[in-house]
Parts: sequence; structure tokens; C-alpha cells
Amino acid sequence: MKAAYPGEAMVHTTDIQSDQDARSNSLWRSPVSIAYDQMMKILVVEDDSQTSAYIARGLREKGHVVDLAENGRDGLFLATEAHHDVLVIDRMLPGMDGLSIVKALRAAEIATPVLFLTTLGNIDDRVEGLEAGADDYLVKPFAFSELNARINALTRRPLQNATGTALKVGDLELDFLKRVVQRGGKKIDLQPQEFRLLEFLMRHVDQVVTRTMLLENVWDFHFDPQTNIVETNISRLRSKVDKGFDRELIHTIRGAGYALRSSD
Amino acid sequence: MHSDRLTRTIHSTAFRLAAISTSLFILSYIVVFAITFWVASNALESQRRGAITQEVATMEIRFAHGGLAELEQAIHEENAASSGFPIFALLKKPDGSDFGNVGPLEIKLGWHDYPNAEIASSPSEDKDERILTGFGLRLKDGSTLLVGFDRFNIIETQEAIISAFSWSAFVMLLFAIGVGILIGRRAFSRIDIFNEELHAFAEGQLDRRLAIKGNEDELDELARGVNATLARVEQLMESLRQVSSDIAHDLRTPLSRLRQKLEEASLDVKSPAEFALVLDDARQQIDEILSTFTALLGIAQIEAGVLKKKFAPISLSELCQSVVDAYRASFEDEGRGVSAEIVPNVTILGDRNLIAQMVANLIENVLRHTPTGTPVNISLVTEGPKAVLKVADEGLGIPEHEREKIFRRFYRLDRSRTSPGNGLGLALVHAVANLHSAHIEFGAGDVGLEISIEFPLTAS
Repeated sequence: MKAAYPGEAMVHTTDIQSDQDARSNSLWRSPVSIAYDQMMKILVVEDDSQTSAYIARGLREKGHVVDLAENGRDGLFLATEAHHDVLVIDRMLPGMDGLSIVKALRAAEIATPVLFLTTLGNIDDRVEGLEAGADDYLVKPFAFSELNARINALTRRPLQNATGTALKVGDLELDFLKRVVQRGGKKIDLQPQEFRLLEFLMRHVDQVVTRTMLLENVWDFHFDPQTNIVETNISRLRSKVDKGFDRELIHTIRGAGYALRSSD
Repeated sequence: MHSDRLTRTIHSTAFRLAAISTSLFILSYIVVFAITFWVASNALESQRRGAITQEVATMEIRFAHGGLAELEQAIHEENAASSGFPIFALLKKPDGSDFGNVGPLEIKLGWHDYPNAEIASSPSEDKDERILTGFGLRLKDGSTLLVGFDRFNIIETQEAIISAFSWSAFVMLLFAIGVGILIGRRAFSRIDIFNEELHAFAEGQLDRRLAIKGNEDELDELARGVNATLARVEQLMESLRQVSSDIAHDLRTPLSRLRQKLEEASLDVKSPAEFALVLDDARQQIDEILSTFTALLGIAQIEAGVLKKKFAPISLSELCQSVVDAYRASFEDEGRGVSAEIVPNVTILGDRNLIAQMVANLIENVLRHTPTGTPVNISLVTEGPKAVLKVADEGLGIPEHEREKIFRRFYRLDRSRTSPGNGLGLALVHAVANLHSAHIEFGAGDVGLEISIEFPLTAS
């Protein structure tokens, strides 16, 4: 959420956004998009039409198919009747709240990944949502790039690069049991945090991971530190993993986050 | 006003309780009285009748020995030497003449009461009270003899008992009513004071509290409960007021600045490229305002105290270690030495996320407000019933009179006005410490700033 992301866009439920065309060009265009996004069918359950239009537009520009529901009942109906790859559900909805939808879905053994949208950064909400069966949560206002990265991270595709206890991306190999990392046969010494950071990046190979996702998953920080912890550690990791090699694996995606790429 | 108070007093619980217990007491008192009255009267009566029976027997014997003359003599003697209580006798001779110390009356055989009997020596002046209780018998010669006693003594005794009992009952009743009113009044005078305080509180004097007398009665108990509630309300109101004024003062400024910029841009900007730059800049500023807003709401939420119900045991040691590790690279990049002495296995009851944020904010405070290269010392130790987390730097420190203020929202030392940050980091530390009943202490040293957070350890 900081100044480090000049391309970042925020949305708020009560925001006034009048002239969407004027800014559209710079919003969805390339820096955020990454070639590896798969086409997905996504259901967005959100009662605020401006927010849902904003989300739908962004996702469609990424090449996804988007279904919209304005209230909880329609949302649950659509989620049960049709297949979706990811469900994006607002916590507060008329008719039936997001928590109830997720509980109903999980009770019906529908395991579609769910991303919750919550209004307040309330830790209670997060825990409650995850306990009800949601897979991730995002606090409004959020940047579209954040939402997009999280939706991509949620898609349950099998890890292509995992063999036994090791993850492999190009000539980079990480054994998460032996806790050994090597690139091109050369061993790389990593601090525990750097190891966790690399492991997370490798598990999400060819996906954009945001700063917030890294803070939550690598450091278990569910708040916004004012110091560039992520940047500092990424640059350290880079100097160990990429320095002296022809091809850079760790890429900075302007206005969105980072990605470990298997190929250029 | 006075009669109103009296009515209120009479309706008061204390008064009612006093009235009920007094009534019960009077009822049992009446029962005691009845028994006493009955027993005393009976004893007196049977004693007198016994004496009369004896007297009659004596007279019969003397009559048998000496006829009427001897009997008259006996009556006369008895009359003269009455022992204990006066005995009255009347002899109606066969010739119709009477002898004795009782006026003429119709003698009935056996025990009877003779009202209005003329008893010469009766001490009572009231004629109605002159009742003679006597035993009548017929002698062999046909004359009738009545021997009896004046009931006056018994009646007098009975009256004495009644009057003693009624007076004491009356006094007791007065006393009970008086005590009831007094207790009721006292309760009311306190309740009136309570009401005054509560009205003053409701009108905005949030520092008003109910007085506690210290005698631990139910009003003290009530006062304590109410005071706790009032303190909580005051705290919540204060935090609400604070948040409102913070929003008014500190969010207005960046918003007005942003508005200005946009207005300028609408006049000056010529090309789409320039316009895009302005938009980017504006978005950045909005992001900052939003994050400040989120932080403010977060602090308000923490201060509301509702998160307390979610507290769980957490390892403060592991938490501190992982937060310190997260910042280690940042410290090293700035050429700062980090020393962390963290005792293992320190567990407290709390909210993991908030404490992580607290530790992070304390560390970031050092990073942001001390010159590059300044070392930081972090320690976690246990001291008796407390877990003490200490974050100390060797920077410029803070003058003593400003120390408490650094926990206020948006408070900044003059020299820090230009450094980045939203001015809410330490306010959050303060709020989280309060939520966890932890005390914040400042180190006494001259060098740098040392902040200690003393958490109460979980009893285990």
C-alpha cells in the first residue's frame, strides 16, 4: 500500500469514480499482467455495483470469464449451479452474508477456492473467514493487482515443478526437507527467512506474488509495516540466487510485486 | 419537598424492610404478652381461690364447734387480721340479718363473681371495678355464708401488665419507624448523591464518579460496579473523541493538499503524459491517507477492548525472535548493530498479531528516528510476575517531559516532523500494551531511548 508501487490502484466501496475511461489505459495495461495467467471462470459476489464493475472489468481484461451476483442468495445459487475456478465473495451482503455462503458451500462439499473481501482490517474477520472455509482474504480498499495476484495464487493447479521433497525452477533447486538450495549444481547459503521467501516464490512460480502476500506467508505479518522488509530481503535473495548467473529468475513486477519466472 | 422526601422514604426498600420486621416483632410481642397475661392472671386467681377455700374450711369447722356466734367471731377475726390480702365474708343468718364486711347481696352457692359488691375496704374508687369473687355455701342451720376476695388486685395486676406491654410496644414501634426512616433517608441521601453524579456524567462531565464509603455495603458494591462502567464509558468516549478530532485535524490537511494539487493540475496540465503523472501522484497520496485511516481505525478498535476475548497463550519469545529476524536485514543494510537477548519459553496471554505489530512498531521507531548506524538492543526477560520486553537505541533520546506524549496519535517531536511515517506507530504500541494490561516504562539512562513493555505473565 506504500509509495513503492506507483502503478497501484485502490478501490473503495464508497469511492467516487466518475471517469473510468480517462484512466483505464494505464490501469490494466501490461506492467501488472504477466503472460502466465490462465484463463479462469470467476464468480464475484459483491453488492456494491461500482466495486463489482471494477473487479469484473479488471478480471475480464486479464482474459477471465466473470459471473456477477449482487446478493448472497444469487451468489450461493450460482456457486452451486455452475463450475467456477475461484469465488470472490464480499463479507457483508444483503440476504445472506459471505460467511454463510462459504459455510453452505463447504457443507455441500463444494471445494472451489474462496477469496473473501472484508471492509475492515479486523483480525477477527480474517480468522473467522478462514475458519468458515475461505482460502484467503483481502481487505478493502485494495489494489486490483493485489486481488489479481491472490486469485492466481488460489487456483489449484498441481505443482509442476515439485519432485519428491524438492522444488525446481530452471537450474534452481530447493529441497524443503533437507533445507538445501542449489543453482546449477552450486550450493547457495540462505538465512531461514530467505529460504522461506524463496520457497514461497518457487511454489508460486510464474505467478505474481505481492508484498502483502509475502508479508503474510513468509513473515506471518498481518499488518502493514512501514519498513521495506520485503524489498530488503528480496534484494538479498536476489544477490544470492541471481548474481553471477546469466538468467535472472526473480523479477520485480512494477506496481504489483514479484515473480519467479521459469522462462523469459 | 419535605413531604415528597417522606413519601420516597416510606417507599424505600430500607423503610419497608424495617416496617416488615417491626410488624413481625410486634406480632410475636403480642403472643408473648398474651401468654404472660394468661399465666399471671391464672396464678394469681388460683392462689386466691386456694386461700379462700382454706378459709371456708376453717369457718365451717368453727361453725360446727360453736355455732353462729363462733362463726361471727371467726369472720371478725379474719377481717381484723387479714394476711396477704383482705378476705371478705358475708353471713346471712336464718333470721334474715347479715353479718360481715360486705354489703347486702344475693349469695349464690359455689364460685361466683359479684359485680358492684359493696366492699368497704376496697382500695379502688371506681365502683365498676369492685368485683367480689367468692364461694357461697349453705350451713346446716340454713344460713348462707359467702367468703371471697376483691378482684381489684387481679385486675390491677392485669392492667399493669397490659400497660407495661403497650407502652413498650409503642416505644418500640416509634423506635422502629424512626430507625426505618433514618436508614431510608441515609440510603436516599446516598442515592441522591449517586443521581447527581450520574446526571452530571450524562451531561458530559465524564470524570464524575460515585463516592465509595468503604463500609462494603450493597451501595458500595453498586457504586464500584457503576464506577467501572463509567470509567469504561469515559475511556470509549475519549477514544471516540480523540479519533474524531484526529480525523478532523490530521486527515483534513493531506486531503486539502490533494485537492489543491488536483485543482492546479486541471489548470496547468497540457499533455496526457503529464496528466498520468498527476493521477499517479494523487493515487499515492490517497493510498497514504487510506492507510492512515486504517491505522486510526485499528487503534480505535484495539482501544475498544473487544479483541480481549480472543486472547490465547502465545510464545512471546518466538514472536519477538521472528520479528527481530524480519528486521535484521534492514538493520544490517543501514550499518546498525542489532543485539537481541531473548529468553526462551516466555508465554503470555494475548493477541499474536497485535503483539507482532507492537514489536515491529517499536523496532521501526528506532529505524526511523535514529541516525543510520545507531545500534539497537532488544531484550526479553522475565522479572518476577512480569515479562519485560525492552527496545533500546543509542540515538538522541527524548527529553523527559516529552516522553509520555510520544504515545499520542500523530504526535511528533519537532526534529521528526519531516521523517516518513504516519505518527501512529507508538500510539498503536500504547493501545496494544493497554489491551494486554502491560505497563510501559522508560529507561533511566541518558543515552538514547529505552522503552520497556512489562507484560503480566500467565499464571501456569
